[in-house]
Amino acid sequence: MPPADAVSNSVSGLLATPSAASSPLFDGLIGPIIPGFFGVDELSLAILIGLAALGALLILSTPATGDFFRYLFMLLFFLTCALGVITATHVVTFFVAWEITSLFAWGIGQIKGLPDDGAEEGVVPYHAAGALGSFAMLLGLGLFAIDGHGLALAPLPATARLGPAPYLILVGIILKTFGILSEGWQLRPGRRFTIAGATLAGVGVLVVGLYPFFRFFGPVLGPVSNWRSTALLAMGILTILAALAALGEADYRRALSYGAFSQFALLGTVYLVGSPAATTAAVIGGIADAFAFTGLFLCLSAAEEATAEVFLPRVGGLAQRLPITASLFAVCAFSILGLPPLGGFAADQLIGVAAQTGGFLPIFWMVVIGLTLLYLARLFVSIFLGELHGPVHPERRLPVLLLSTGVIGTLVLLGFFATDLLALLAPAARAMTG
Amino acid sequence: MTERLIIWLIVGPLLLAVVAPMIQTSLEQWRLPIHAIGHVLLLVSAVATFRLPAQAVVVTIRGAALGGQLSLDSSRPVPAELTLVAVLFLAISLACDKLARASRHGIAFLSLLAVAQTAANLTFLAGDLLALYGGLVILSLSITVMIGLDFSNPGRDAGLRVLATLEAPSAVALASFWLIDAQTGTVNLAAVPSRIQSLGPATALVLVLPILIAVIARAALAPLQHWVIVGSRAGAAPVAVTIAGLAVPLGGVAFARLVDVATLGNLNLLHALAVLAALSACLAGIGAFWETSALGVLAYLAMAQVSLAVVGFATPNPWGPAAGWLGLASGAIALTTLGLGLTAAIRAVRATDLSRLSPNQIGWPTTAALAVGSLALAPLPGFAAFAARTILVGSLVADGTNWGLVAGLLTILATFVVTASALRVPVALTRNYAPETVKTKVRSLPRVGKRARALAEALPREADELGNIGGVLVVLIILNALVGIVPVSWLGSLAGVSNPAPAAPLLTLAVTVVLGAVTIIAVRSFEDPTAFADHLPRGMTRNLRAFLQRFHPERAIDPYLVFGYLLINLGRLSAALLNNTLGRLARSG
Repeated sequence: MPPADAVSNSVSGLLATPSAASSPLFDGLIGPIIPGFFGVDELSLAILIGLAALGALLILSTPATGDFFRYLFMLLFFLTCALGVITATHVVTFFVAWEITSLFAWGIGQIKGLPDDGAEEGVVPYHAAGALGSFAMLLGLGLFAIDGHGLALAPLPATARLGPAPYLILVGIILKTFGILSEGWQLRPGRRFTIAGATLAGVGVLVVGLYPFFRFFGPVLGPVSNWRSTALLAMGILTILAALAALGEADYRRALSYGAFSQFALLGTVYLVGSPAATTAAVIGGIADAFAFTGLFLCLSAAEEATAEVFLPRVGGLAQRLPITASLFAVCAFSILGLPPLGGFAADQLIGVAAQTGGFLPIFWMVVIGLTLLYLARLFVSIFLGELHGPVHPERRLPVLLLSTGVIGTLVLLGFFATDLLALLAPAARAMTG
Repeated sequence: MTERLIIWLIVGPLLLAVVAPMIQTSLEQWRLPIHAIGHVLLLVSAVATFRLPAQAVVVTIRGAALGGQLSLDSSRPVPAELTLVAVLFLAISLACDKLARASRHGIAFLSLLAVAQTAANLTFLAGDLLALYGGLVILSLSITVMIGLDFSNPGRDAGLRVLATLEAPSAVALASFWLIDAQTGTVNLAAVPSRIQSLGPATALVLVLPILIAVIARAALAPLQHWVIVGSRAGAAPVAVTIAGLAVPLGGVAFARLVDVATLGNLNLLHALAVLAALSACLAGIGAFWETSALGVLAYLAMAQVSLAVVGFATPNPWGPAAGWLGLASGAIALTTLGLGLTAAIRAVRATDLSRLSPNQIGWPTTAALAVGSLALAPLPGFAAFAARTILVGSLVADGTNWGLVAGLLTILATFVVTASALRVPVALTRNYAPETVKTKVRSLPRVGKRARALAEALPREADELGNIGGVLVVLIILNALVGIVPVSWLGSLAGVSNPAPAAPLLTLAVTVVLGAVTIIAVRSFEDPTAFADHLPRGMTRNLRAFLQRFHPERAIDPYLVFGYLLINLGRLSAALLNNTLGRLARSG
């Protein structure tokens, strides 16, 4: 271990010093909304900030879809329900909001450009994952309520007996997240520009997958630790498997969905390490990845609109026709990899602090980051370089330029305001981990 | 002023990349080389860094709120490095300007070249691991996009290979940088090695291994060398020059800057790296000997030069790194000279195959550049690379270990093979292959009217259409000579050797000029090599004619013959080299 005085960087300082962990930006925003049912704490406030910015970005994108009103209304409903998920402090309100959010996510995925456009591939087996996830979550929450002797989403005593509830909740979250992501790739919206993939991989994964994970496996179930090693193993395996699937997949939307799932599992793994740095790293990383994947899926949607193809062997050379889209893809990919000054770098710096305790995390993280680079590089090169295949529509410069500016600007802002997020989350992280 | 200048060196090229295409579009009728003019400004900025104070100048940029820093320091001989790299960027940009403007995505290439200059400057100026990583990642992304700019499937595959080989280890290394930051509280290049050592061997290994693999990939050492060859073969000629003349040597710079972090001063690891680098140089020489594509040969030669420089960086005494830096700098100039010569030649003969290079269609600056570039890489006495190799072998012998001896022997072997490979280019020019052009076609037709024949003869030479490239090549040829003169004395003082190279400055210049002139005259004078025999006394001609017939245009050169001839000459060269080195060691020891 390094000498104590060696660890003197600002991240460790912020995490370790109680007085440093306060930001005037968030004063007065924390507290109950409807006591017993909805409320805001540090974790939900951090996610809410991300949700608000993502929502603004997505609404900004809707005019480019050619189906402005349907997307706008669905988005508004979806974001309202997402707000419910994030602020829920009661098992019932949480489950209801979670289910309705998933329903609207499915609805966004079903919007077609024109009534006679395209054809759906069918429902099974991916849609079934969401349904099974709902069932597992319902069962898990039921057992949790019985074992926890109440319906409040409050921390359990360390001596509480949980039975299979944590595993069912974990399975529910994993299946639902996978189901949400699969809605994006099952879609055939007449090859028009769509924000479905971006919404589902960005806000969808953040609200339906990551936030419940953070809530349950942090403040609520955190004090009871007998489930932790199994959950850690499961998330670690999922991270690697999903990254390998992303590396081998020929459909670029599926490949990126697997990538999003791999990042979800990676952040889950980091979160389960349980130290203050790991907890904050996962939350900030979740928000940064949501922005980055929103940008990446918008790029893929632009590519699909331009080529009417989703298979990598049938596309290529799009940087000739879609140069701004290619640039946006590269920047978002860099954010996921943690290049300064984009949002992802703050998360990586924190993961570095979390991993200094040793164990499996440093090597695991290095392997995942290498695989992540490989699948993102493969997607970039395969889609944007090489020969053009068939007719390709030119880029719609103004909407893409606006979206790119929005996404990149937000990622840079997130990098710069990461300290404030860290200051917001640090006390909660310390309390959670004792 | 100081801080602004250093930041300008990073931001300026990026600005050039964005603004130049806009200006070029609005001033299209004037056909100004806007990118090259921008590179001139950047060169002036680089020269201005010589006026910075000699002590360390560290500019800290708050890159982001979470303590992200970009430390730039000019305490090392950074001004010279910045100036040299600015000259090379200017040379490539100016030489390829007309070519680029005539091609579809040429302007994008010039802008990417400017972005690559940001990367290069960042690599030289970086004072911490993250800034260095930032420079290298920008470099590999711009190189990848350059390779893919022809939008062909081979280009795409090569781009993926380059990006994956360079960036996958680098991404893992980035993770280890964060771990180092967390565990030691710093990512400063100077402070990191001692801090990591205090963490214990197991932790240090986990932290250092990814960095070691990343620098091996960057410096194109075996087994992670293939990206250089694949990228150069697949890209257009200017892209291959950028890879060979800039990207690979910058990988060498990254190695030099990270070798302390990656090895933590472990002597066994350093020796192993030196042997690996010398083996890589041997492999590169063998690869270049059998390569058919001219751009592939250039790539192998770049790999060899940088590998030999890495041998120096991995040698644990002051002479080794000094030889490494000199070899790297002179190698970059020679590779750019040779690369731009090949660009002009390929453009003229419309083929990338080395056997298709024809002196009939190549102008004299191109011929001279090919000759001087090859001879400088060989390395012939008089060129800076020869001095670098002399010092390198001397430092390996002075190391006094078995590993040092093995690395020294491998370095001499690599010199043999690389010389044989480098000389393939001027030898190819003596073959007098006559490609079919409009002129030759018209000449060969039996019934062509006088007017048509006159029109065909009046067509410009293809090489003449290349605009600025002739002038650039001449400047680069002179630069090769100058580098042979100037740094030798500087290096002598740095390495503590009174006169490290046997060549006096005037001799260096004379050798360069004479060799260049002889090569040019030989190539230009004798379209048919057997005609050379006509100028000799009759009694001598029979055997010589038989020998020269081996080089007849219709026949391929027997590689064994050339190799044997070169081995004899190289034996003499290496004997002189070793004799010189050992004598100097005896005097200094």
